[in-house]
Amino acid sequence: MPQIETQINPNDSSFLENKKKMLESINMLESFLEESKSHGTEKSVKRARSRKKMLARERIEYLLDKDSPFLELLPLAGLKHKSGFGPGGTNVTGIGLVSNKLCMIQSNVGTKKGGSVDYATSYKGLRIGEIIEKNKLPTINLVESGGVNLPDQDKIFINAGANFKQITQRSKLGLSTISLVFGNATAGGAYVPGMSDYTILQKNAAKVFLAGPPLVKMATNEISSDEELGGAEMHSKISGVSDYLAENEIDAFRIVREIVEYLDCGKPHLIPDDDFVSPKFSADELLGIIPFNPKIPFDIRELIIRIIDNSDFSEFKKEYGNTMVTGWGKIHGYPLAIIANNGVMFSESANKAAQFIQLSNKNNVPILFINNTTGFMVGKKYEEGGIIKSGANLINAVSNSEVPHLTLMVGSSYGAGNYGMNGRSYDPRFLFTYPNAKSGVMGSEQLAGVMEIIKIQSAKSYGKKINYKELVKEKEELLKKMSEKETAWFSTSEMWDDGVIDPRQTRNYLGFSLAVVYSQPIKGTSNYGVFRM
Amino acid sequence: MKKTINSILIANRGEVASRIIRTCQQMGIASIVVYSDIDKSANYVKKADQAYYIGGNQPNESYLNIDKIISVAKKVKVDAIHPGYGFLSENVDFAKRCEKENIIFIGPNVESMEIMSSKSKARKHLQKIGIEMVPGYSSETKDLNSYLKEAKKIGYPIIIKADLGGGGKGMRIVKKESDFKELLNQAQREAKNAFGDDKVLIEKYISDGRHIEIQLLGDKHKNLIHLYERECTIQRRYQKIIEESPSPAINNSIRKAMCDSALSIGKSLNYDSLGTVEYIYNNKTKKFYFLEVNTRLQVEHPVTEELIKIDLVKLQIEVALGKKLSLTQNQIKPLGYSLELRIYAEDPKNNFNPSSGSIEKFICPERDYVRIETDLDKESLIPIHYDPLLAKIIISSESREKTINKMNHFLSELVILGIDHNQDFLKKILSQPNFIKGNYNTHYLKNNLKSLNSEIKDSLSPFLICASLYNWKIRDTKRTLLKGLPSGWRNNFFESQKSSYILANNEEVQCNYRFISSNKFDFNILNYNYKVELIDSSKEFIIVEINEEIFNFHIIEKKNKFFIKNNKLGNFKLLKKDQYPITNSSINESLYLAPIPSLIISILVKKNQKIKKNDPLIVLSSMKMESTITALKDGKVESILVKENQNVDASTELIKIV
Repeated sequence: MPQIETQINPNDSSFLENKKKMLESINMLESFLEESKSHGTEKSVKRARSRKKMLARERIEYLLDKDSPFLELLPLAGLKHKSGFGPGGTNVTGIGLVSNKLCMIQSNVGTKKGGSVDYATSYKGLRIGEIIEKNKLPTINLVESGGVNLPDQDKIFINAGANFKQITQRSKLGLSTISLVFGNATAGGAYVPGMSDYTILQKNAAKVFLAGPPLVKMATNEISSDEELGGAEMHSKISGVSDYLAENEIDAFRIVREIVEYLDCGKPHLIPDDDFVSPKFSADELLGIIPFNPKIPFDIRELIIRIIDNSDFSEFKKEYGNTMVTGWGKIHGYPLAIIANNGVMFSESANKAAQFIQLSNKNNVPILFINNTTGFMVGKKYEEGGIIKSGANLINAVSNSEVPHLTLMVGSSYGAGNYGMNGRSYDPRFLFTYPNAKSGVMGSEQLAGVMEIIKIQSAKSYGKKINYKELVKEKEELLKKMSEKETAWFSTSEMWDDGVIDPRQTRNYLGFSLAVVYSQPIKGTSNYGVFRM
Repeated sequence: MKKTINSILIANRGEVASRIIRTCQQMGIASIVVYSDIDKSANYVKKADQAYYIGGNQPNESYLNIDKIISVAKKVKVDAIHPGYGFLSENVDFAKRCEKENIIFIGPNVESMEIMSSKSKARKHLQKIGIEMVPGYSSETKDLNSYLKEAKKIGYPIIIKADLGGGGKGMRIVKKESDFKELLNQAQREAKNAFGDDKVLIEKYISDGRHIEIQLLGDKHKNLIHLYERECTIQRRYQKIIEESPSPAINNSIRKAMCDSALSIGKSLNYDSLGTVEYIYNNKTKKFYFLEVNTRLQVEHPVTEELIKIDLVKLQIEVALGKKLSLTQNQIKPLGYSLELRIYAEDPKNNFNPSSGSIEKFICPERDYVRIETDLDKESLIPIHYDPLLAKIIISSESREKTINKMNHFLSELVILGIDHNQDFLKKILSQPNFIKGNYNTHYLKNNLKSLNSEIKDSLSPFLICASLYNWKIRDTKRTLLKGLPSGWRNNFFESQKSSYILANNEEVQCNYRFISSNKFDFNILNYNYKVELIDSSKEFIIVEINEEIFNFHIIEKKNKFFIKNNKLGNFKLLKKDQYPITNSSINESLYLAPIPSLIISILVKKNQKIKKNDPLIVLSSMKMESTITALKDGKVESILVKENQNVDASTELIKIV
């Protein structure tokens, strides 16, 4: 395979400047992640400790196979929500190995707001549900939650119901959910263990009931205790809501590991040998390669050769449609098809990508979309050339492709470019974002400029007098607002992605994602919508 | 009388059998061994020319069973029997039986054996020839008062010994008269149990004493020479673990007097084989007294062999055949200094209790300056039925200091993993200033037990790191899924990987570690941080760099138990804690439920009645079968929830007990 040579000079001033800026963003990422690890107030943590309860993250660590990697998903969900419970909400979620099987683990942070569910936690649950279903993973719920955060109920009520529906629909698909209840699982929350295939209740800790003693007293005047209404022993011996009675948390982990041992998780499509070779070029250099200013272009191949095995990239249609790079490579031994922007998209670029998607489907190879585009080229010439047709063809191929898709946001991802490049609404199995990445309908500057033009035109058509001073002020305000909303922090807060990542960890994120998608049979399609010719 | 020996049956096992086989091989004599069930796969059985099964593992069924051994000897038509040491080596009946069957018994004349088999007979015999003995007394009458009277005359402290005894059995030290009666009873009981005879004798006890013995060698032609002394003072439980020659305690004139004394004793017995005269040497008065004669090859014979560069077993076989001694006294020249250590399967931290089980790894480096006597293989089973001697290490050189240094270094290289043993304990002794000075007595180990058993400083963490990485490596090799990811990879790191171990003292220690990259780790143990790199690891050997120092470890695992050896830090044992233990589900102590739909026949208790565990409470009937609900624990009836003749559904709660 011809080797791609790097053109990068790591001593170059722009390289150093990019690196400095990127490291600043990574620091910010790390401080947000630090915040996401909060287990609530010192007081409630202390209280849990005094009751010999493990914290949510400790439970995950104890449950996982020793040395298993763990990919936490959506750790910064709700980051920018002013009334939310902080980044990540009250549920720590990710994928790791339990009894040597890939499992989705969701752990309620019972020490943070009683583990009650805010808006972000609820939406995070839905996205996790998608990931579970698409990737056919068993789910382990570590339950200790007071249910919906009541002040948020107007925003959550409908969603929360979908969570329960998902559990049983997954069960229908053969995807098991196992719930371990260590504390509260009340009211709606009772349906988490209630809907699960397997339920383990911890003795003298689990409380699973539709209504607690006060509500029962209100409703029927019956006097009752927590233990009588929803204790582990009652549910294990009388109601049968519980399938296993755990003596303590560790006992519950032992039981769940036994259960997973016997789960049928299907046959992996491929487990590669571990004789793969790391890239020839250092991942550290990714920090300086990616221009901090998204307007400055860079050769996306410089990124590709720093994330794929042995930097071996078999490029397809190299000489055609050169603002799109397509080709084959491997990560951690897993084959993948790469479709990467190398600037604004022209008809040729879109057509080339659409063709390559069809080839990936023929070969049953997952596709990685690397986004760095301001969108499709505009202008008379391009409209005449039918760029809408080319964009439609690409969107057609992306939408109907049936091999797993992964998406990486490394720079800009605007407008229909985002759609054509498998943005959030096109169901990528996993989508990760670099801290410098920007996305939206269009760039914030363009957006503010467009709005300004529209306002002027509108004023003119109504014959109004234009207050240019006011207009400049309005434009500035809009620009400020919009530039905040196009950042990675906003997109991750809104769960447009599954996490903002340190570029140096790209290989590990993608390798992990590939292990997940390859753990099931992969079958491409040859069936698409009508391609406009 | 036979003129040649073509085959020898070795009526023994283990290390000494191997030792005798070696000489047989060099002399061109066939070696025939016998074995019990458990010794079937022992090393000495593999080395011998022929091997025959003689019975069960209990010594009485095999190695002490004269009939069985003689029947093998006759079947194979061996020319001679070598009894080794222990077992039948000093058994007069066995020697007589051999004579009767016309098989050469490789040992002295029966008369010598007979006299020396009893301490009282020996005393009487030696009194006649004027050998100085510790003041003592023995009597056939077993009359307490006469013992008490004699004890008073001798003066306390005195020692009570079993007449037929050895190895410390039936032995008691009496410090004051009031203890005498009780200790005498104990000694008699023990003697009866161990030797079938409760006869004891009493002697003056020398509290600051040393055990020094003289090696004798005689032939059937009245030639008798001595082969100098062996100092065997370092003992635990009256059994030697270190022997050396020359003794650092005696000067040449004492040495000469001792050797002369031994020769005159030998002569008086017409001694015609290999034998040893043991003395107790009083450190204070510099006087020595006769203790006993061992009429056999001694465990510690290699000390003399290395000192004088001769093969005692070969000479012993030759004189047994009637050959004249080729050596004269003048030809015997000790060369420098010789030291033997005995590695025992025992726990020095726990009263030297013997240990048994399988040795999974034995690495004995081949060094020109070391002689090893052992029957251990790479893997061996140490049975509970026999002496737990694993190996003897013998080193000789021109000086005591040099020999001790070499021994010390060799001990650091030797690897025996799988059971408890005294390797580190021996090594500690060698580094004690008083031992180095030769300044010790028979109480030395007892008096220095604490310091000899102390742990090497800062040794815990390296061993824990070793065990953790050993386990990590096994897991890492087995990885299938996510194996492209760094071990324990986290994208939002929260806490380190943990593994907990339980130490020999039952303390639990947690190792926290984090994989950094390519075999590099950060460890935290008991709040100390370590930068660690796994340099190399094979099946049972790992090399680790810890804070810029390289450590090599041999390690084996036996059911979650780890035995580890590092040349600098010695041996270590720890248990991996089960991360997901099965919690014994305590019986539900509060709920009494109807097992299936039933009719309540009768209620046997009343509200507030106190009940005991297993008391009958309620009788149920279902499907015409009666069953009784009984109390699961002691308590009180809090409430009865059903009535007699009531039909109840399955799982109906019947009664509350608190």
